[in-house]
Amino acid sequence: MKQDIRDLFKTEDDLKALPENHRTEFLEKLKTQPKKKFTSFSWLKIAAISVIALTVGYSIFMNEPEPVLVSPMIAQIEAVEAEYLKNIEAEWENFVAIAEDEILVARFKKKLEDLDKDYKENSIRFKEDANNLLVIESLVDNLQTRLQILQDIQKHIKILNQKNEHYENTI
Amino acid sequence: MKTLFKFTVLMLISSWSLQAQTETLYIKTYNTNENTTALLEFRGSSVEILESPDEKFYVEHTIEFINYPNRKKKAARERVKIESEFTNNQIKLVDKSKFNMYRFYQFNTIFGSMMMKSDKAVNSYNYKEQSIVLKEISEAKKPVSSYMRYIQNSTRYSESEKTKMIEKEKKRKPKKYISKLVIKVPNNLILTINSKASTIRIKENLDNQISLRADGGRLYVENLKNQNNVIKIKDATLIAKTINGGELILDNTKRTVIGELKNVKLSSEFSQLEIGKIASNVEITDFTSKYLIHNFSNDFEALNMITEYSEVNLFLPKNKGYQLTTFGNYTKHFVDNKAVDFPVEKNNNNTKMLDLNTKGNDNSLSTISITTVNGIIRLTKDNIINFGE
Repeated sequence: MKQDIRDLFKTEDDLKALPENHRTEFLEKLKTQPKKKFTSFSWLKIAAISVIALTVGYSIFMNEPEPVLVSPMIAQIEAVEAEYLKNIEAEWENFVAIAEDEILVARFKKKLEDLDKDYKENSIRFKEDANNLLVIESLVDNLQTRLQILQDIQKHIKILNQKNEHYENTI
Repeated sequence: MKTLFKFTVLMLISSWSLQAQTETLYIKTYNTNENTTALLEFRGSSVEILESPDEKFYVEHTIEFINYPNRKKKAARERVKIESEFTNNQIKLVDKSKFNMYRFYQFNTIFGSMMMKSDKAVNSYNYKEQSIVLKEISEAKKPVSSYMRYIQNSTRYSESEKTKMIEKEKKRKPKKYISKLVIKVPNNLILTINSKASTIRIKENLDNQISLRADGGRLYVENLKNQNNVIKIKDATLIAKTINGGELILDNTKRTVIGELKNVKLSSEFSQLEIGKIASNVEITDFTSKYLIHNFSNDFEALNMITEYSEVNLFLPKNKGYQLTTFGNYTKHFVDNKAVDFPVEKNNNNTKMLDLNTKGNDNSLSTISITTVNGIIRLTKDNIINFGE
C-alpha cells in the first residue's frame, strides 16, 4: 500500500510534547553509568601504537635524503663570484669594442681562459678545505685580476689613442 | 711569606703557560752531501726557509697556542700533516697540512675584503732612494694579522670605521694558534720548491741553486744569489731585497717590489713591478706589465727591455752617464712629464724613436735600450712622474 511518509508525522499523537523532566532524568542516568576502566591491555595497545609510530617515523626520517647544507662561506663566495663575473663580462665587451689588435684580443682571451681554469681548480680545493684563508684569497684574487687586467688594458689603449693636443717636443 | 712568594711565582708561571704554549709536532734531520737535492712541496702552507748552521737539512713544525681553547687544540694538531723521506740522495718534503681559520674572521672580515675593490686612481710616482725602497720592503715583509690586513684593504668600511675596528682588535685578547714550518737548508743543496697558495719566507741570504715555482700566495725573499736560479711566480706577491743572477718569470704578480735586480733575465706579463735599483746587466721581456724603476747602481752596465703594451716609468740615472734609446712603434713617450710625438712608421716596428744621452763624470756610458710596440714610456730627471695624459 502506497503512502506518503510525510503524512505519518502529521497526527497529533506523533507531535506530543516530551515530559518536562526528561533532561534531568537523562543526565542522572548518564551519571549512574559505570565508568569504563583502562585495563593493562589498553596501556599495552597505546605502547604498541607508539612503538609502531616511532619506528615508522624513524625509518621515514632516516631514509630521507639529507638536506644539502651550503656553508655560509661557500654561499658568500658564490654571490661574490656572480657579481664579479657580471662585471668582467661587461669589461670584456668594452675591451673588444675598442681593441683593434686581434692578436691582443686573442692573448687576453687566452689569459682569461687560463684564469678561469685556475679558478675552477681552486674552487675544488675550497670545497675540500673551506676554512683555508689562502685558498679563499686565491679565488678572490683571481676574479679581481680578470677585472683589473681588462680595465688596465682599456686605459692603456685610450692613452695610446689620445692625440697630443699640447704637443711639446723636449728633445 | 717565603711560601707565599713561591706560590705566587708558581701561579704566574702556570698562567703564562696557559696563555702561550708552543708544541713541536714534527721534527726531522737529514745528513746531506754535495750531490743531495731537495724537493719541497707546499699547499696552503706557511713556511720559513733559513740557512742551515751545518751540513744537515732540518725540518721542524711547531704550533703555538695563544689563549686557544683546550677543546679545540686536538683538532688544530690534527690538521698538521708533514711527510718527508730521503731516497736516492733526494729529500722529499710534502706539507699536507690544512689551514684553520678562526671562525671569528669569516663573516666580519673576509666578506668585506671580497667586495669590489674601488679603482684607486694613481696620478703620479715619486722617486725613491734605494734606502727608502729597502725600508718599505722590510715593512712589507713583517707579518700582519689576517684580520688587520683585511680591514685595511676592505672597501666595505670607511676610514674612521677601519680605525675603530683596528683599535678594538688591538685591545681584544687574542685567541689563536700559529702553525709554523721551518726548514733549514745547507748551502750546497740544490732546491726545488713547488708551492701553491702558500706564504714562503726565505729569511736569510741563500746562494743555493733554486728552482722555484709559486702559484698564488706570497714570496718574501732576503737575498738570492745564483746564476742558475729559475724562479717562476704566478698570481702571487713577490717582495725581495735582492735577486742576483738567474731567470725570473713573473705572470700576474700583483705586487712585486725588488730592492735590487742584478744580472737577471726577467720575463713578465700582466704584472706590476717596482724596482729599487738596476745593477750590472738586466734583460727584461714583457707584455702588458707596469714597471717603475728608481735607481741604477754604480756598476750598472746595461738594461735591455723588449716590451709590448707595457708601461715603463723610469727615473733616469742620477749617478752616472747613460745612453737611452727607444726603438719600435705606436708608443707614447713622456719625457720630464711632457709628451713627445713620433711619426708612425707602419712598415717598420724597429724605428729608432728617442735618443737621450748624458755623460757621467768618468765619461762612461751605460746603456738603456727599450724596444717597444704599443707602449707607454715615461722618463724623467725630476723626482716625480706625473701622468699628464
